[in-house]
Amino acid sequence: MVTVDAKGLFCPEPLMMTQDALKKNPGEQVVVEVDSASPRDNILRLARRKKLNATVDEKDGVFTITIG
Amino acid sequence: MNSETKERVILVACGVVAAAVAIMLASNGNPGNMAICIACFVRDTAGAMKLQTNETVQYLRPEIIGIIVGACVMAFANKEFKATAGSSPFTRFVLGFVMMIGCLIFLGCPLRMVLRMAGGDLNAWVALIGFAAGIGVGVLFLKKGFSLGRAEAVKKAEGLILPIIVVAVFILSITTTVFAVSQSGPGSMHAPVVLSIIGGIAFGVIAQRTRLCFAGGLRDTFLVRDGWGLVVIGILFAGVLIYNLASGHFNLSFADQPIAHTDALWNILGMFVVGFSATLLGGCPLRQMVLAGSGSGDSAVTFIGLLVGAAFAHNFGIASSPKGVTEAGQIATVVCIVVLFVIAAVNLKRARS
Repeated sequence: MVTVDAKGLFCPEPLMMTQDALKKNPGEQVVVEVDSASPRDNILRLARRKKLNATVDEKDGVFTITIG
Repeated sequence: MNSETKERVILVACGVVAAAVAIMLASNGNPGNMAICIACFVRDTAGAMKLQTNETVQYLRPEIIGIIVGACVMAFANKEFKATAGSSPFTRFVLGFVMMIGCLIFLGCPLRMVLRMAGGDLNAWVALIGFAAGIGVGVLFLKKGFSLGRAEAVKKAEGLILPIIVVAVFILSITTTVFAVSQSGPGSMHAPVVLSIIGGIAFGVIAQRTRLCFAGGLRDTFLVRDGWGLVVIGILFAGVLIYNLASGHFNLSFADQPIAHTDALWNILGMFVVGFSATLLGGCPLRQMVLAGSGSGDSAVTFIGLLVGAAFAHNFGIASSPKGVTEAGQIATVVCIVVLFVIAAVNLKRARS
């Protein structure tokens, strides 16, 4: 499992970091943490385009997105 | 209806309403092909506050207030309001300043560029080349690791200051005569206050909900082949185009366009500056205002950069006019391009994940 900490960052950075992590770790589960809604939605759309499963958990304003 | 289909329906509906707002504002008195231009209206607002003293561009535009307030209301309604700050604020101020200079060389923000394109203004189609090139160069730096760093959560009050100030300023503008108002020129052309504020709020709500960004739409298409952000822009363009064709406002030409000049090179370079700076900032002038309304102190600082940039542009003869680009404007554009490359180059170390 690979964790990407994109808290405090705005798109496109969280999106690019997620894309890099997916590319470098094919087949592995990638967990991305973001703390605003816009990157959350962009990352979910990225997962959908890549036909990967993605789930979101929210706790104290941090969204944890698990892909794959 | 699944969530993806629902999201598409919302995007289309928002695009239609955005086009309707732009048409409503233009047909009720706002200057031609300007409707709800962020750069023009921030410039007029700087004039109203006497930060610049060009008597033809002074009017406290309720649309600017409305966009920030609308975004703020929508952010609270969606539980997306979050006070943050600390991602290179002064660099963002400079980038906001530079972005405004680029806008006023071309005579319009990316939103007005699209409205001008829909009115048949071929100068805006030429400027699109520069805008896309600027975003392209910005994307190259992003790919190399450009970052302005992380923002931290701050006290809610920090994020609320700008929305509260703009509401206070709006109340002052309708109850007193402290702000300057143009008697002629673009600043004297405006829709009734009630339509302007309602239109602005509606635009702010839509822009917050759809993350509308004129630079982000192209950027994400270049960067991750995600054309989602272009949907609302496409519908806005199509809606205004259809209206212009139906009402006889469509005029396909370079010459005689309202509040525009025909200097192709400087139209391209002006919008290059806008595309490049917007990509480094993470959003166009409209998006900066929406983020500022949603609690971002960094975007609030960027907004002040836009305001001060507009004031400098008019106080020092940098801004273009329908007569063309000034010598000061040409020098400022070149300086802005150099500044952008320097800022991009010195911020190439992205935060480690």
